Amino acid sequence: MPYSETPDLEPVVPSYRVQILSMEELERLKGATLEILEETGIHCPSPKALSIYAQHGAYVNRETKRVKLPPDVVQEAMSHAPRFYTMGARLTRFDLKLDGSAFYCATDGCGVETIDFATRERRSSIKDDVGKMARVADYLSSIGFYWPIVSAQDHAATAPLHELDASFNNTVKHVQTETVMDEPMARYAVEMAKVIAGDEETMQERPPLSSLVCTIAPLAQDKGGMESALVFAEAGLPVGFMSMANAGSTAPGTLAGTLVAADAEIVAAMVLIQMAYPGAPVYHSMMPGIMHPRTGGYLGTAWEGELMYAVGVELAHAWGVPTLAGIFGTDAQVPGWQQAAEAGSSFLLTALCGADTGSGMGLVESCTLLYPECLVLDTDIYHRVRIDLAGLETGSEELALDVIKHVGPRGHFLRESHTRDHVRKREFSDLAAQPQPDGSYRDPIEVARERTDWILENHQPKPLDDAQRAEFARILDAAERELGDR
Amino acid sequence: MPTRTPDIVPIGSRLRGQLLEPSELETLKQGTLRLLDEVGVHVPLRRALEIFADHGARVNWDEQIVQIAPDLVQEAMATAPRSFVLGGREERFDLTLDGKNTYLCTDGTGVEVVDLTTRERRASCKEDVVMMARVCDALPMLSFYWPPVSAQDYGPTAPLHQCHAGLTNTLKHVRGGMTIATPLAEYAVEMATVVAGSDEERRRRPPICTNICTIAPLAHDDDGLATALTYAEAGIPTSFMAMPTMGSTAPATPLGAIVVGDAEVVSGMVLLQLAHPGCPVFHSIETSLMHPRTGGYIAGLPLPLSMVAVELAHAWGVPSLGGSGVSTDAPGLGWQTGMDTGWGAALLPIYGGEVCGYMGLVEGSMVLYPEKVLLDHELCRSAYDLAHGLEFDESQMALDVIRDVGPRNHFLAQPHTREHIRDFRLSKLLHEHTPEGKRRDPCEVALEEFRRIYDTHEPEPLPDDVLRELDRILEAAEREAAAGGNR
Repeated sequence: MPYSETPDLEPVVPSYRVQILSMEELERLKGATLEILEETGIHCPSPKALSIYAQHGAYVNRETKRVKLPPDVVQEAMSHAPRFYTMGARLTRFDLKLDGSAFYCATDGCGVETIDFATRERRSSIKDDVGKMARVADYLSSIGFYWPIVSAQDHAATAPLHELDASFNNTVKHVQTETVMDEPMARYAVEMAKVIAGDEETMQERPPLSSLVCTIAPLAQDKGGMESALVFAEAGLPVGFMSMANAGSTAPGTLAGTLVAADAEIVAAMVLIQMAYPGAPVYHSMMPGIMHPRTGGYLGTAWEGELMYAVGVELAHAWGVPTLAGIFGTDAQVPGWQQAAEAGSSFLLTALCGADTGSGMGLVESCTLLYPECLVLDTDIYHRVRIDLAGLETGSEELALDVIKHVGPRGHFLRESHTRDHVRKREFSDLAAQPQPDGSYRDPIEVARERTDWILENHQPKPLDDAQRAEFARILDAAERELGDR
Repeated sequence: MPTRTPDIVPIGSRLRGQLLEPSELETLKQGTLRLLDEVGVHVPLRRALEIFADHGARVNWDEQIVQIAPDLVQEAMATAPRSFVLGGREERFDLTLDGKNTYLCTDGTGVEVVDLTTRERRASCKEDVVMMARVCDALPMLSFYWPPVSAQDYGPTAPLHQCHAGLTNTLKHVRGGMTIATPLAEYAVEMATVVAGSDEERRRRPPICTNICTIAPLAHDDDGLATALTYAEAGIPTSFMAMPTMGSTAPATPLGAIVVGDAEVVSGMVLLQLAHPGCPVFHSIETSLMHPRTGGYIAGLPLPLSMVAVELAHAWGVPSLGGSGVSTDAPGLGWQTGMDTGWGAALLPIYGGEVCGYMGLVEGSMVLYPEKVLLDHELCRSAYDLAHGLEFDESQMALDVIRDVGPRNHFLAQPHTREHIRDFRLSKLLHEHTPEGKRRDPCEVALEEFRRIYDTHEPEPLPDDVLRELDRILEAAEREAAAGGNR
């Protein structure tokens, strides 16, 4: 089958950093987490997880399903968690080396509605949307790894596995699932990862799949989610935990209080994984919101709320693990002023705090609605931030003193060969300042739509080989029989 | 009945980044010193040439080129103050430019307005400057009023009318006149003196400052330099702003453009220090890029050039006019404007700089959309929240509350929640709903809010005798301009 090359990744490599919290403030936050885990504990409804906690020194009340974790138990467990590891991809040049130097970003997920690619009508999302957007994501150098961006709602109980099928078939990049939420489903997902990796050893060295599990605020875990996480960890696939505590409803009505409650949820889950599989790759993901005090709605993009995303990066590193940071994301309902205005701030700040990975590109309406062109729009902002943070070269060719001397006062640089050489090296937006015949510039949203269509028409990443496709079909068939789509 | 002007809110330095190493900044400064020594700048004003010559610079009188030896530059710059005050009508509106705070300003100076009533695009006039001054007076994130558009209904005295519209309609510091036709700058000084109350007070807390644009590459404007010399003599602060365009008026490399701009700005500051040692000056470089296909002006660059400009200003030991900004090259209030505004606002606390922000204009600072100032203001307030949002006292940590609530519960019924949920700033523009529960378009809400402020906010007027004196000054300036004093 003919296919096109997937362009190289362009991760964010900041040339400078900022630090929001002092070491002392971070230690205070960690201390508060330890206090909550010891004195209040968390709710864990999984008998399997309760046994693991109990065997490793936690105080477990099986009736109330409450787990209390003494500080030294937490610290000991967390000491096994690796700070750096690799998230693999189908092709090695797309492996993500989480070594503290680069920031890799993913699409948003998992939306439930799509503005149809052809009719432009709003409808429930389907598997085909996941595949199409995987192809767009495969083409974009901004996307380091792919979150199935919407739900494959045409596949009921096995939707999460069909999302993986659509993803692996349409991108050579790392895939991170955020919907595999029980043990049997997780076993099928791990089988799919093994098919991509080729063998178990490669799967552990360069895991092509990772998982994200949400905790339940306040201070609780989901049975299926935790049991799924244990399956992933057993197979050596990275697994992360995200708290979406909401200040005012499922968390205290203060930022610091919300950070503590959320951190306690995340740390308790990572501790379980380290107890069961010491050294298993885990990551920390802090994405709380703020409750709208009049509507009760979720405000994901109030900037003081976004401060929690950036502090989340610092907290993850203080616990010695990588982070999945909250980036982009908007409460706006359509692409436009608000969507663009809200897009870049969390990305910028988490990048400057040294985030390892982040997700959130391509959806509107608080991560629920896919506008196909949004991923290209967000990519434009991504590159703007990336280039800005990359810093500047300071060599003599850059300073161009000889050229300036040659031109002198009141001259111009248009005919200098230095200008010809260097003006081509400047990076221009793919969307803004696109001239049209009457001299004005085109609407960037329209340009983004065209570009998305162009990618879908022209980019077909390297396909899975026949044996891999056959194996995927067999896995899906078995899953459907076991899990009830048939 | 006058309404109280809210206190101004600057952004602190908690999130400040550092891009260049001291050695890299020194390389840039050395580049500037070499250019000023070996190439020089074009100075088309005899008085300025004489000042340079009197202090030992090499002057080519025919070519009007001044070459300045590194020692002379360094010696002159040593007298420039690192910190000074831009005064407001009351002391609570004073801006202390010392690097601790970033004060935000309006953009300027545009030439067209999307009319508030007809919504049609037209040439700007003095009434627009009045309208914007009144609305900006009510916006706490705005600390510095730069008349966003030109009073084109007043010909050569337009800068004086812009200054007048600002001083009479806001209690905040006013950018009082840019380049002013030669003899008319004295009238702006008179206006500042009348508003300040005395010569001494004008020097201590100058209610206006000016910004003089240089001409890239490596040249000055005669009226600009004359205005700057007049202001400097009166102790009124002057910023020199270079606007090099990579590819046309500057090399196509970022640092090449910066060093051209820096040489222009430093030569202007050196002139003022030679003439009036210790006078307040600040430094500004706004770099753009030539669109390689259209030749058009692209200011919204994904390069940290404004951050370099701030660091360079501080390396020369003076404050910076510049830092991040929310201005945009895009027309209207669409996606690109949102991107430029959101991204520019988020960088404000990172880049620092004493005065920056540039709210209200679109299309490369040429066109005023009145309501954009509110959209910009909203995101600048969000940037403040980013830089100031976290506290860690016992009440904020809420450990007792978390313990009381415990797992799988909620915080809705807690008195602590009721008490603190009000601390979150709910944006009037971004989080407004229709009665049916749908989100409202922020641009529409901003327009309504602009009209509401314009209709209801009346800043404290200046005393009657001061207003009469200002009118008298304007009349005298008009007479001199009519008599041909503006050449």
